[in-house]
Amino acid sequence: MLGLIARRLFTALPTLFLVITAAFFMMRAAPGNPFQGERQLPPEIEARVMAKYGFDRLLIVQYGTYIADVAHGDLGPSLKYKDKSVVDVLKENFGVSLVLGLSALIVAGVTGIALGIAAALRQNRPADYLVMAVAVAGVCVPTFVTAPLLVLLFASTLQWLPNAGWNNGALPNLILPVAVLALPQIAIISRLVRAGMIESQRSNFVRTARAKGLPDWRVVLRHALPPALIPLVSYLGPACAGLLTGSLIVERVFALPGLGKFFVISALQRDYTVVMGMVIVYAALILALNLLSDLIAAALDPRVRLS
Amino acid sequence: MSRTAILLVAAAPRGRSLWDDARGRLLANRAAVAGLIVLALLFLAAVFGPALTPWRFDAVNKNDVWAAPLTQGHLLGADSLGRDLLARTLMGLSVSLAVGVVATFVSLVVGIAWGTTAGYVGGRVDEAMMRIVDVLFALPFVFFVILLMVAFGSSIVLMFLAIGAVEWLTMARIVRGQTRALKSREFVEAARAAGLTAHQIVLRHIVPNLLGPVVVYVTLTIPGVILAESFLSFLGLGVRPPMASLGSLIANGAQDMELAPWLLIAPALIMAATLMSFNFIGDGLRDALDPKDR
Repeated sequence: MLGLIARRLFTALPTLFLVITAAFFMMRAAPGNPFQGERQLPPEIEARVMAKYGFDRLLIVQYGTYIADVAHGDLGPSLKYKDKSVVDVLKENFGVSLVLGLSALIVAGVTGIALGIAAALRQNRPADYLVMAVAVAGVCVPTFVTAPLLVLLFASTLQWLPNAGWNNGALPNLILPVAVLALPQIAIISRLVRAGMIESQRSNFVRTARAKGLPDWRVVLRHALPPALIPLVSYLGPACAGLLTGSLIVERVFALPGLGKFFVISALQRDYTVVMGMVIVYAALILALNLLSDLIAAALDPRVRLS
Repeated sequence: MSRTAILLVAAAPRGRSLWDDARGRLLANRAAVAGLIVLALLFLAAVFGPALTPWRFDAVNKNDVWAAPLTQGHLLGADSLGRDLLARTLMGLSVSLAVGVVATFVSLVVGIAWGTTAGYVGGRVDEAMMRIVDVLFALPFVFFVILLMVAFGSSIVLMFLAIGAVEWLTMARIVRGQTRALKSREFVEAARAAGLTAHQIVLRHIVPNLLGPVVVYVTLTIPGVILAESFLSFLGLGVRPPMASLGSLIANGAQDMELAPWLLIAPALIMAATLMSFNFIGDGLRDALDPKDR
């Protein structure tokens, strides 16, 4: 197990390093610089400001300095938000994204597993078809369609829920964004669980459990379900990536002050350091979750450990 | 050749190829057939529709601002500038389909080249090439594409390349796996014994045998690409107005949905129908080509 962790970390760190490198040079290849706003600065002053942040040096030297800073945990100052470091900007907005993402993950997990079990137990009957229809819709109707449609229905027409805003994370403000984020994941999770359950229901150990005379719920929850959940563990990484992508849309549609909303704006404004900081946080998050899901999979399934 | 042999050859029943079998199974799948029909209609609409509508997609008509569907000669209504929604939706559909097909083609070419090389050469080369794919895979895709679009300005050509450049990763993985399996088969050995070069073996013997899984993946990549393009357009990084794609139409519709919900609903329905058809066809093809998966 320790060997596996070491091996995975050994590949994750170079990956993170390459991600930082690629993002750094791509950002710098973009035309313009952070100091070109609506107000055109005189060239001398622009040069002075560029020099203050060290942007007048050779790109490769700047890259070296940046990597050294990042290795020390220093992501530099924000270029657009005066007197704030990148870490401050990230801290302020990370909480909202985290609450949103985690709630969506939990909602998607619980709903998806429940729907998957229900569909598998009633395979090829109306309940199964209904769940699978929802699953197809969840995959085919993208977030940027469901979000405005749900706002139109529940906020504008029925007026049950607020149409946007964070309001310190009050429950009514959370319901629509979380639902929109969770829907595609519910679709995928319920499909995975359904397939796994159908397979494990046919297996010998489930037949044995039934033959022993265990009650139905015990057979389903204690014997058939655990092996059906293993594919879910390896889906954890992609699910997280999907939630991050979705949050870019959701935070924009619902005007939520999260990280996703900042990413596009900062990239367009050439706020180099903030964009880099976000890329690092997102990449590290995805790598960490992939590592975690590998470890859980290894702990659950001895075959993975051996290979 | 003797007379009987000729007779035998003539009388031999035509063999059923994998593709004959697959076609039969695909046509028996109702969802896939429905998907094929809907998709064919959408393609026809995208190709011929823009020329047939009475309005141009970018014609501004100040008398028709916010025209509701079926009024003032606008079948689906008009937007805040009085532009005909039907013409714009058809234009958006053809842009989205074109992006989907072209970017998928880019990913197909790169993915096959990369995957067959890694799989066929094997060893260190394989390890290095697939490690690169792993690393790129861990890179959050969206951020990568957003950075690309920001860095080089949004143009349709660049979008083809950017999305294609990201989507080839899975293709390369699938192709590599298949190539490694095919490499040890007898017909490849025979080709090698016959003195063919690696280049010839890959092109004539490996690539044609990859087609099954590749076709399935292609039908699932196209909707993915359409989704990615629409996602970028929704964030304002995709096609530039007055050009339209389904994503940019949905984005504009979402802004004006309180006033004119039809602006959101029509492109959203077309989008959902397109994605759904591709997914049904993809699932149907997978079941048809690989029956043991069922």
